[in-house]
Amino acid sequence: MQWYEYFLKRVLLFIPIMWGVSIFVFLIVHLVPGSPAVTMLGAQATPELVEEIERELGLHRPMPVQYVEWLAGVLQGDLGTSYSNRRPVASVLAERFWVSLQLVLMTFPVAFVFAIPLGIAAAMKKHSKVDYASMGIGVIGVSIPTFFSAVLLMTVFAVWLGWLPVSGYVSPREDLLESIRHMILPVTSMALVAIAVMMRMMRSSMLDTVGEEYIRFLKAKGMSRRTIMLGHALKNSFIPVITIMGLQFGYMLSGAVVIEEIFAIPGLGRTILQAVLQRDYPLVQGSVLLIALWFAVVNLVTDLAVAYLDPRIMEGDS
Amino acid sequence: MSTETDTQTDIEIDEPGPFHEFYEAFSENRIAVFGLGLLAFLIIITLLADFIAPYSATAQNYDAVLEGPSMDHPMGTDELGRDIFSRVLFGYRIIFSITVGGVMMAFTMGTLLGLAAGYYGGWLDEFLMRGVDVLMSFPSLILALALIAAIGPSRWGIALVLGIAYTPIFARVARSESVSLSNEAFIRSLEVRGVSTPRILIAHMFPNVLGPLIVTVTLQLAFGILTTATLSFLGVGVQPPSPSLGLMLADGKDIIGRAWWMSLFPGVAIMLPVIAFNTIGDGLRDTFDPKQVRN
Repeated sequence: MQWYEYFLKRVLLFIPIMWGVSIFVFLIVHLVPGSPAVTMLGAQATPELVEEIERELGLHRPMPVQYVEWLAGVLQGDLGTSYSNRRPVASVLAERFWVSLQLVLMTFPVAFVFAIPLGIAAAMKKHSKVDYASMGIGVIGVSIPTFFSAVLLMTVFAVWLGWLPVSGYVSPREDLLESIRHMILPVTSMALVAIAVMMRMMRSSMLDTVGEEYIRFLKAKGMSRRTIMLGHALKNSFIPVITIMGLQFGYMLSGAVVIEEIFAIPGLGRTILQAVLQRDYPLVQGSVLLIALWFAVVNLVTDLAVAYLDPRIMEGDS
Repeated sequence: MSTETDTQTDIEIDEPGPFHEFYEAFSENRIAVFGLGLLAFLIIITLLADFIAPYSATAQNYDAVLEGPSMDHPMGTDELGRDIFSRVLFGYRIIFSITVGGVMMAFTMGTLLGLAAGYYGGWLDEFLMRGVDVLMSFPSLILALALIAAIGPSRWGIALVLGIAYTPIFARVARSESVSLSNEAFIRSLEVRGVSTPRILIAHMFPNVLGPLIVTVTLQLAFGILTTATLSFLGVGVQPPSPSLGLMLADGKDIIGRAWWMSLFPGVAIMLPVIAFNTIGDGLRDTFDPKQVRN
């Protein structure tokens, strides 16, 4: 299969999947037992208010009609009105998305810089102290809840030592230095998981590659272990790592829910949590849709990149 | 490859069974054995919580508010004078029951759907796997939050949410095993002999895909505990006054300077079973897939 054929196939597959996602997101409101309007209003529910909201959400019409109208709106960028913010959902999301994106874009390079060299070092010296130490960090990194590591970091570096702000967010356009100072703890807590996952993958992928025929051949030829590992195994073992990196990049927006809540950062993650707690259904739908879109696009780009680097993958997929 | 040479060099009088061979390989991995021991310990203290816990999980005592660790209260007390050690023990019961319930549900549904999809192929396969793609377009925490927004937070609601969120993962693993298995001669011969399809799927294919699925179960249990604790921490999981490890940490985090024990012990308590499941899962994966060279 040619690369552009694969590209086209994957992009075309993306459309029905996003369509499925839109149906699921639409149904969230309709899974609510009883009337969502009553649930949303809680104690303030008067028959008039309930009717008003039901009319606004169009709940009295048949479901397929509601879906088509909702989807038509979504495609034009109209995600409804957020009740808790009294603003259009789209404008709330546009504002919060950049904050989360900043968090993710700062976290990813940090994770990369630590994870990849550590993973390589561990694989080069299997069963050495470096290997055991990095594996220990790896297991703890994937086992510690993000909220626990965040609370620990916050306590030590912000509360006890007072080196960094406890919480809050400053826009980089306002004050770049302060913005970075506020981001250090959130970025570190978020990077820990990604470091652990990426490092483990780097190590095991490299060890997998070393077990392959052509590497044994190089060994038999008398090439030094160092040249084999860094010159030949590294390149090939990087491909599964790219897949994992893409997944982590996508997952970071969901990790942001916890981090943004703890450090009081007004991003997308905090928005979705507030929306769930306040039963602001249009905002829940909008933010879930946006995160799913982000996740799907990141995964698509990763798949395409991996297929480009390792064309064998395209064969397996056809 | 390496296992072949191993069995050749080991001259044994008794032919070792498959389980024995598996056990040999698994027990070589000392970290995984440690994980298994840790898990056994946690299961025992959870089952015996009624006998071990010095206090009830919800009993308040205003004479012992925010006390540090002592002989009376090994992990201290919280702002209502509740014994943290007792709450951790009963908290384990809740978090384990939710996670195991959710993962078992996903395992059952996902495996059946995956086996059927792989075995039948055609439009059923296409339909089910596109559904799986859709559910996997959401990070699981986001999927969980979306479902909680609809059904509301509750203990069994969380189990249901985990069950739905993890089903696609099991379906994918089971399907890929099922596709290659359904072309095997022994499955074809069962069809020729007129064995019913549900019987083929459950009695003959299911045992053969169990290996890779057990690795998935173990790793999903680790994820499940983290997700359950995270949802509780965020206030959309187990509701008070039930002892929930995530919620205990959330309660303690604002007064961590005055009462570190309120956050530290529940936090470590969450990590222990996750470490156990992760190390066991890694060990199982290495045992089932001995592709890596030893040394």
